[in-house]
Amino acid sequence: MEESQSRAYIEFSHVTKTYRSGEVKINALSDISFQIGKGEICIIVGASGAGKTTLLNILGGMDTLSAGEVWLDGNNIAGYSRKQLTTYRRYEIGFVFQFYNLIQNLTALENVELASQICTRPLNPADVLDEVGLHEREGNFPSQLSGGEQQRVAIARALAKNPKLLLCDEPTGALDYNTGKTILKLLQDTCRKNNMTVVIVTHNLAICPMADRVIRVRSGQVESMHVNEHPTPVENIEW
Amino acid sequence: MIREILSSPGRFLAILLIVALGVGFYSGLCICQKTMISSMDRYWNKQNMYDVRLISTLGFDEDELQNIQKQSGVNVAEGGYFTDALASVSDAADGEEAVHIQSITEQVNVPELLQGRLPGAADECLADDAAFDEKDIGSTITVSSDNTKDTLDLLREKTFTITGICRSPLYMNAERGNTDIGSGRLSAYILVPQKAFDSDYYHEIYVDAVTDGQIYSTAYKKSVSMAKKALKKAALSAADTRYQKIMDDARSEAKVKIEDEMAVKKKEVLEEKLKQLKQLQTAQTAQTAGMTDSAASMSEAEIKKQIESKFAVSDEEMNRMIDDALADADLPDAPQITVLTRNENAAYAGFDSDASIVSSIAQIFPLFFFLVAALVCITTMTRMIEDDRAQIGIFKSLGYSNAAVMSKYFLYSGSAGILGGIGGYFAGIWLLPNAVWTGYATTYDLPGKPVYLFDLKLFLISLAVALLCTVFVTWIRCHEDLDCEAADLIRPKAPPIGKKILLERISPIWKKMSFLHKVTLRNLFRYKGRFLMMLIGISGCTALLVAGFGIRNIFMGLGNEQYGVYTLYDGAVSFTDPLTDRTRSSFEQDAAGMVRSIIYVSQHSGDIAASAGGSSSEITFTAMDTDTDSSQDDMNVDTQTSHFVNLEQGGQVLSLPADGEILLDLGMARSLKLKKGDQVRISGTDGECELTVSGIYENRLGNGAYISTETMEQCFEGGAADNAAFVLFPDDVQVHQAGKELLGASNVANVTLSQDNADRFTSSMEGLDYIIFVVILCAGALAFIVIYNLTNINISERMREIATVKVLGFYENEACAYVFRENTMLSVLSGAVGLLLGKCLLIFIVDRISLATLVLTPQVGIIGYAGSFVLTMLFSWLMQLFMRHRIAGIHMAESLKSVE
Ligand SMILES: Nc1ncnc2c1ncn2[C@@H]1O[C@H](COP(=O)(O)OP(=O)(O)OP(=O)(O)O)[C@@H](O)[C@H]1O
Ligand SMILES: [Mg+2]
Repeated sequence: MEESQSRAYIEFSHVTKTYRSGEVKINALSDISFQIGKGEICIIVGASGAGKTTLLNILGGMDTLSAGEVWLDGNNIAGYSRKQLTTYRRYEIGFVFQFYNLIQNLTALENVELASQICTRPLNPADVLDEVGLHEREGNFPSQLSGGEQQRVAIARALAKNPKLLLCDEPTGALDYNTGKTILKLLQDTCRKNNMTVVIVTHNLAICPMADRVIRVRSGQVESMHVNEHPTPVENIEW
Repeated sequence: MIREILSSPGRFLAILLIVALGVGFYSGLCICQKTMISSMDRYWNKQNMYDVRLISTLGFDEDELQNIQKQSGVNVAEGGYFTDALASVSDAADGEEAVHIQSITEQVNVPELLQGRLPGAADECLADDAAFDEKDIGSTITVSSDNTKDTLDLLREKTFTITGICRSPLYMNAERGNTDIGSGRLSAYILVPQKAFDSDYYHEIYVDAVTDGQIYSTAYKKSVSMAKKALKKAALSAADTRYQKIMDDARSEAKVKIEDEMAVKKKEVLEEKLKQLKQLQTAQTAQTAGMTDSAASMSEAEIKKQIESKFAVSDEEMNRMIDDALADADLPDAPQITVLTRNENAAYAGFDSDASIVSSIAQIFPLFFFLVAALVCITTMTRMIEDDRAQIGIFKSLGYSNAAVMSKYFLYSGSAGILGGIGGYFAGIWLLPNAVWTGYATTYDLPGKPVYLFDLKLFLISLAVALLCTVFVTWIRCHEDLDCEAADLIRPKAPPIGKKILLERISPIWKKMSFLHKVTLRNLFRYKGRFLMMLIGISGCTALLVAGFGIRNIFMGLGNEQYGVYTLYDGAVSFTDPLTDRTRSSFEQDAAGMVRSIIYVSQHSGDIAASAGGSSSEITFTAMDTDTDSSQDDMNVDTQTSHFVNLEQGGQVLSLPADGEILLDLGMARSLKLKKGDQVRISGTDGECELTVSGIYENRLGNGAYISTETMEQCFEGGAADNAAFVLFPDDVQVHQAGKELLGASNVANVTLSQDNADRFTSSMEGLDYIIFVVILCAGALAFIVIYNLTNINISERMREIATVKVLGFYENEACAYVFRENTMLSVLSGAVGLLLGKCLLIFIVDRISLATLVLTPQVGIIGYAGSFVLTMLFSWLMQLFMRHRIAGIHMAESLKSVE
């Protein structure tokens, strides 16, 4: 994919996020700038505490930034009001959490429905659950599902919203090799099929070949950015 | 600890407040009766209310008063005069009313001057604060010339200028008593200087005795009954002595009189005889000088002697003549002394039981608050302990004992309990008695503020209950968790497992529901404890409101119901004297055309008691005259009694009582525990009668009994004569105007309009609004605390869930709805339950308020129900509004960071 075509889609420009705990100031992100093109799979890697989650949260409109601009499809979300941010999250973003965050009192299907029922063009929740291989488990509550199954429900929930931008924080962190692979494949396929932009945060450097773009983060700054002209399909990656 | 409290002041405050509310209600209601009685006791002591009142048929002279004063156990004794008279107020055209005129006593029953000044001159007076107010000062009260000669002779002055308005300790309730003049009911009292009375003897002596204990206490009753006995003896012997003297005086007076009379007669006879003798002698001299005649020869001396012997009477004969003379003379009977105590004072007699009504309600209200307090505490502590699980586990693994770990929670809940308990106690024993005092001021003329009573026992009980609701439930709660192993504690507790609820099995309904409603329903059933707390709290709030509005509805409607449904006549006329044919026709001449119809009645008040025993009550007896025809063509004397009074029971019209029967009102029947067919004894001015209760008629306000004219005649002096009438005015006239015109008719003493009675009752009930206000406040506080506590805990527990929902893109409104929808649902459900509960509460309360003069039906009315429900929803909605910022403030990134 041509970089020039997709430059405008996501652009972080001199973004700084400062946490203040008492006297101490911690820069989770310090003057970070990068771009991601539309329809790309972008993997963000970095050590623990590098600022990956912070970055994703800001991109997802869940957190505010201290300085800089975040452009998405020509809009600066750094200047959004609370309500605009909510609308942004509602229609543009799908979020897969590091710790699933399913609602305990809802069945797998209902957790997906919870997301799909507020969107304008959702996918059919049951179909999405089927796609992630949980057709049989749709009536189960989260506590009755394994970690991997819960993660898949979380992904189904994000996908069902049919978002333009899918953000995944350590989607395979809690999963075994095979399940992780299935999930990643699902992400890759969906991205390709729906021309969805996917941002994946991970520790796992081995999966980098599947991405169109790999950004390495280190103490709140971009250490390196690397565009992969020929991403490898997930099934061909071994780790 | 302090940090813990400060970090979540809301939670701490919620426990504190609900405990305070419970304790406040409990202690306040418990102490009410005591406070009311102590306050009354203090007031009566301050005004030196009498303990014993002596009345003698002979009256008392100054010596006898001194004698009473000298008796041991007497603080002060003071004599007084009184009479009942028909009188009118200067600038009001209200007609004549029966007024009790009493001399001012300075040391006993001291009137409390409210406005104006004390009277100085004999033609000045203090007036009843219930009938007069500040603007009446300066107006005059004129004793009507229609009064009996005795009454008129007794009063030196006939016109009194009101110089001040007073409250008399003798008249602390609305009751002014009965009289044998006018309508039979006294409408007011006035207090005049002693010198306004022209009497040689005191009519009564009020004694302030040395007594023990508080009013109504056994000690008090005992000391009064002792004083009563001693005083009766002393008074009786003094009276007997005086009576003896009066009789001796009368006897010697009579003797002198008889002797005088005899002397006069003797002289007359002697003179007559001497005249005859002289004529005889002259005649003899003129006829034949030589003729001798025995008669003529009688000497003057002989005649004298003859007459002397003829008029000589034996002592016996003399005594007989004196007795005869005395029997004809207007001499008093042997003296009878009546000794009365405060029990014969209407306010004193009723206050005790009226004051106890409140404490009978005390049992149910607080129970309910305590239950909610315990639930609030338990949910809060559960939440706290769950928050701290890991920490507790660490402490335990470090070897701290259970007690050491628990102490934090005990301190937390205990301090909330103690602070709430103390605060609630002091607020409760101040606020509630005040509210009740103010409320009772509608029926009692209560002075100022009630006393502030501290009751140590109640205080300790309150604290104990407060601790039970906090520390004890914490202990139960802690045990559950602390019995776990440290390792289990360190591991996070699994969140409550999602479960299908019963409703889901009913597919058709479940499928039709919107997605979010399903979620709400499922959440509702997830936390049963909270569900229960909310249900109890909110339904309690609604129930309180329903009961409050219900009580208001009952009392406010009572006047109109009584005078719209049961008493049908527009006005009751009382005549200056019992009607004779002549006075009746002159009345009818005047009144013809003014009334649509009229029925004459004979009304007297007397006592009634069940023959089987039990207390007796005063009641007005009415005999309706269904025989009299009108003397005027255009005067419609209607003998159809049902046009004037509605005497029915359960929709069945009752027939008028025959001779030996009595129809009794429901309230009196209940208070005397009488039912149809029971025997009652009534006593009037002329004797007693045994009657059979032939029916009990429905009534709301006041009491009354209907008897036949024959029975009336037997029991009351002049009972057969009509002395009052019920009238219906023409439809097109204004009742007040019609009443005023009728008052002008001859022989009319007074006209009482039913409309006025209804209005007066309704306006006297306005003090109720104050109590209702307190109830609404408490209900509101209850709802707020419960909803706050619940929502607070709900939000902090479901932080992640709410954050997730927000990340998914729920707008603020939607996120709030997501959390609050179950609150709303529960509020609606609890509100509905509360409506039912409120009705039960009202039935309970009404059952406890059993006054003879009030028949209450526990009806709430649609407005009461609707108002309660709407207010509950409003409280719930306000609280949600207040909690919104909590939801808006949840930081998504932060809340979702940690491990579940
Ligand atoms: N609320 C906060 N207050 C203070 N510092 C914070 C806060 N959140 C994050 N940080 C700090 O910001 C830095 C970046 O944190 P972030 O969670 O983005 O790391 P990460 O790269 O996602 O790490 P990991 O791979 O462990 O998830 C860290 O040093 C962290 O300590
Ligand atoms: Mg992270």
